[in-house]
Amino acid sequence: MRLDIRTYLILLVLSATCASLNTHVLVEIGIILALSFLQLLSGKGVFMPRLLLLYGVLLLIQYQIFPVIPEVVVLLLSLPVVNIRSFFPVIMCVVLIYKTTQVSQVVATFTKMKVSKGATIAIAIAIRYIPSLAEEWRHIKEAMWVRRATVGIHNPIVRLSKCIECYLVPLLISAIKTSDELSAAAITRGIDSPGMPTCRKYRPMGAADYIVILLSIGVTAFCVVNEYILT
Amino acid sequence: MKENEKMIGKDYITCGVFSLLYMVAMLLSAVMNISGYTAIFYPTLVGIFVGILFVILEVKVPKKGAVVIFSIIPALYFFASGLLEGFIGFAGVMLFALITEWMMSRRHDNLNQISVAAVVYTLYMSTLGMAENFVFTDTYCDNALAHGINETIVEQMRSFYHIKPLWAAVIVSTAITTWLGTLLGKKIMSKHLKKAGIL
Repeated sequence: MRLDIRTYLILLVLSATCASLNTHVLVEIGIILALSFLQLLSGKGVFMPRLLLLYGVLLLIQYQIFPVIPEVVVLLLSLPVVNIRSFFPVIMCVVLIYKTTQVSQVVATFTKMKVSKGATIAIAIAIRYIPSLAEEWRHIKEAMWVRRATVGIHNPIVRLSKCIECYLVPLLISAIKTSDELSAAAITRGIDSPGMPTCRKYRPMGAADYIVILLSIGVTAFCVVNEYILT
Repeated sequence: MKENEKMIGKDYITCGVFSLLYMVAMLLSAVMNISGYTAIFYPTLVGIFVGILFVILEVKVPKKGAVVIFSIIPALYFFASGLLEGFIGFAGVMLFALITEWMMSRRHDNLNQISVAAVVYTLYMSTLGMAENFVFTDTYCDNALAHGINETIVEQMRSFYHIKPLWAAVIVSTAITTWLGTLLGKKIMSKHLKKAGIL
C-alpha cells in the first residue's frame, strides 16, 4: 500500500501533535504499534524491527531500570531517554515518509498543489541528498580515522577547531560539488523552463489515504480528550 | 530586480542542499539536550554552524530569497515538532529569514554585512526559541514532568529557568558564537574553498 505525500505530511503533523500532547505511555505504545502496522503495509523494507526494538529498550530503561539504579545515573540519562522515547512517533513517521516517497512524486504533487518552486526544489533536494550526505559522512569519518588528524594537539580548543575543520571542509566541498552536479542534471531536464511541468508521477488521493487521515484525526482527538477532559 | 539577481533553478538547489546541512547541524547540536543546564545553550552551539553555512551560502548565492529557501527545511523541522511550540518555531525561522533578507536587500556582497545578518538570523533561536523555557517556565516544567522526566531534573530546570538574566546570557552567547562561526566560514572560504576553485 502506497499513500500520497500529502497523507504522510498530515500524518507527520498529527503524530507530532500526539507526541507533544500525550503523557500516557499506553496510548503512546498504541500509536507506535499503529505506525509499525502502517510501515508493514507500506511494502518490503519499510518496517524496521530494530527501530521498534530500540523503542522497547527505551521503555524498559525508563520504567524498569531507572527505579533501581543510582539517581546520579538517572539524572544523566533521564532527559535524553525520555525525549527520544516521547518523539518516537515522529521518528517513525519520518522513516515511513523517507522510505516510501520518491523525489519525482514530491515534485509532481507539490507542483499540482501550486507550492512555490523554491520550496518544492528545496524539499525535493533535501530528500534526494540525505543518502549522499550519509555516505559522504562515512567516507570522511573513515579518512579521518586513518589519518589521525588531531593526534599531537593537546590544547582542547585548537583540537576542536581542527576537528571541525577536518570534518566540515570535505563535507562543504562535497555539498557544493553535489549541488553543482544536481543543478547540471536538473537544467538539462528543464528546471528553468518557464512552462508548466507535466506531472507523470502525480497520483490523486485514494480511499486508503482518506482512511489513514480519518484514523489519525481520530487518534489525535482521542489524545486531546484523554489529556484535557478525561484526566 | 535585474535578471541576474533573480533566483534560478541552480540557486534553489544550492539553497536546498545548505538547508539540509543546516538541519543536520541542528540535529547534531541536540546533544546539548543531555541535561537541563546545557539545554538552554543549544542555540549557542547551533550558532557556530549557522554562521559558517550562512557566509558560504551568501557568497555562493548572493541573491534575494536565498535565506528564505535556506530556512525552509529547518522551519519544517520545527513545524513537525508539534503544537504551538512547533508553530512558533516555524513562524520564528521564517520571520527572521525575512528580516535578514530585508537587511541584505542592497548589499549581498559585503562580508561584514553578511556577518551582521547571520547574527540577527540566529536571534530567533535564542529569543523566540527560548521563550517557552524562560516565560512559561512552570508550564514547560510541568509538561516535562508529565512526560516522565525525572522529578529532580525538572526541579533543577525550574529553578534554573527562573533566573531570567540567563536568557540574556543565552542571547549574547548565541550572537558571539554566530559571529565566530562567520569568521570561521570566511577562513574556510579563503583557506580551502577559493583555493579549490569551488567559490
